[in-house]
Amino acid sequence: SASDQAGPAARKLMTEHGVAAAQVTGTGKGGRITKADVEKTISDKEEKR
Amino acid sequence: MADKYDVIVIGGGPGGYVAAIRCAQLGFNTACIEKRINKQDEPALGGTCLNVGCIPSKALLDSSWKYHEAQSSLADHGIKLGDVSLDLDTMHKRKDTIVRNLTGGIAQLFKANKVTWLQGSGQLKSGKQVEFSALEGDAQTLQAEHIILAAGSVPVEIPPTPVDQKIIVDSTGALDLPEVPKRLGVIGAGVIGLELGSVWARLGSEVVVLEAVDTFLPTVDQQIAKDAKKQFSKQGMDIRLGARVTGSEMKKNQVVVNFTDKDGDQQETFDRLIVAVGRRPYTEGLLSQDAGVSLDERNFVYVDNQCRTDVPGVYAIGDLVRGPALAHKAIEEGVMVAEVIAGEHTQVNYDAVPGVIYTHPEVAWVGKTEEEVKESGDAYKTGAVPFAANGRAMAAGETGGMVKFVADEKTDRILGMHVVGPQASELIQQGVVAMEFGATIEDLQLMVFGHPSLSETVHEAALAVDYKAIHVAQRRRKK
Repeated sequence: SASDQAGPAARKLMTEHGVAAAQVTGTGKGGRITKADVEKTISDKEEKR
Repeated sequence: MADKYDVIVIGGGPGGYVAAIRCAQLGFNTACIEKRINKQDEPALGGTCLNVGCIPSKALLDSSWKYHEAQSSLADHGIKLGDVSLDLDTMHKRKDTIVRNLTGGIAQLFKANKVTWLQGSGQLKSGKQVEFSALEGDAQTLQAEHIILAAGSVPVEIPPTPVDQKIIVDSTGALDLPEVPKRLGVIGAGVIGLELGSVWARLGSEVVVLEAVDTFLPTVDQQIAKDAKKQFSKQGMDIRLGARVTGSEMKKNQVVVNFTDKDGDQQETFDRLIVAVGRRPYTEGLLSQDAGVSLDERNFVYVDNQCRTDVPGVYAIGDLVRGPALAHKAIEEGVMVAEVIAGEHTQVNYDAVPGVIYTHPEVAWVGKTEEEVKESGDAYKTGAVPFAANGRAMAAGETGGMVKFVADEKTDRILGMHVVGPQASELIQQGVVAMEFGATIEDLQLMVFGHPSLSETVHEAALAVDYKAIHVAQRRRKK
């Protein structure tokens, strides 16, 4: 689940933007997803549109 | 006794004994050389920390605090005790028992892990050889694939106040004063000076702390340091900054200390004087001329990020090398080196090593201070919340102090956490965990904190960074 890969702030952002943990490349320790990783995924998605 | 080992560790302090145990766990035939003889005239493991440092000082800090509470604050709770008196001998005996149990425990752990404890001193020679001089018996040469130097540190002595361990004592002597001095001088307002000064102040000494530097706790966040100084002063510790000791003179059973401060030459007379100006790496007799290990300009053994010295297969850890002289720093370096020897890629995260001063209130910190971040030029934000707004702190009658966060303005990442107040030593670990996971301030804001608890002040401080604290009035500053 997303909760064991990312902290609360990143989870919140994923929920907000409908991003699944599987879509995000985690750059934190052991592939953990940081808030910045989620932000990058969101901006990449928006660029593609 | 075999004369060949996979790993030989020189020094059985927190760094050395942990390294030895971890090496044994990883399957290495390991020996640990330790020469310390304790107060009971027995060989003892545990080094400075267990024998004459962390543990005995905490035992006295806790005992003296209980005495102080019984005298001063239990009445506030409606508890009347009548006359409270001090039995210093019992206090010392309790401390000594704790130390003996703990050091004995390490000997048991060595047995359980099959670490060979070589009682005596060790000197590193060339070609990964160690000359071992037993406490009893002859010297012999040992050979090892890997050698870990963990000889620790000793108190720094200064010429104006030579230590005699009677009237003028170092930290070791200060743990064993046979009676409470009427007037106690402490040279050095660092961690050791403040803790030992606190112990004797609570037991009744009139304590004067002389500190050469003008800034109080210069490496601590200054908002926290200022608050701490105010609280210590209220407890009767007379802390004089910018006071340089120039000389001393024995007069009967007292010592007259001369010093200069901004007002010129000064003089104070003390019944005892504690010299606590710092500690230096203990390299005497550790290295033979041809050992090949180099020292840096401050006499620390020179090592890389993973504690390798210039000689392949020889490592150095703990107070002997750069970085803060803290038991937990030495411990983690010991574990790292053992795992590096086993071919693993362990690293110590030196950016998240907590520091603690076990005064009352405690002072604790991790990461960068506001001053450090300001100097780096990066945009940052801070939030600080007092324990006075915390219900649990009020219930305990411990409302002094605060929690403060420093965070990156752009990324929201936590850069530092700073605490002065009750249980700061425990609360700070929340900052360590958060920083290790690269947490943002928002991460902490979004977590549920048990109520009522001191930890809620951590939560509120995180909220305060973004002007969202609930239990303190916060007005957003106009930019």
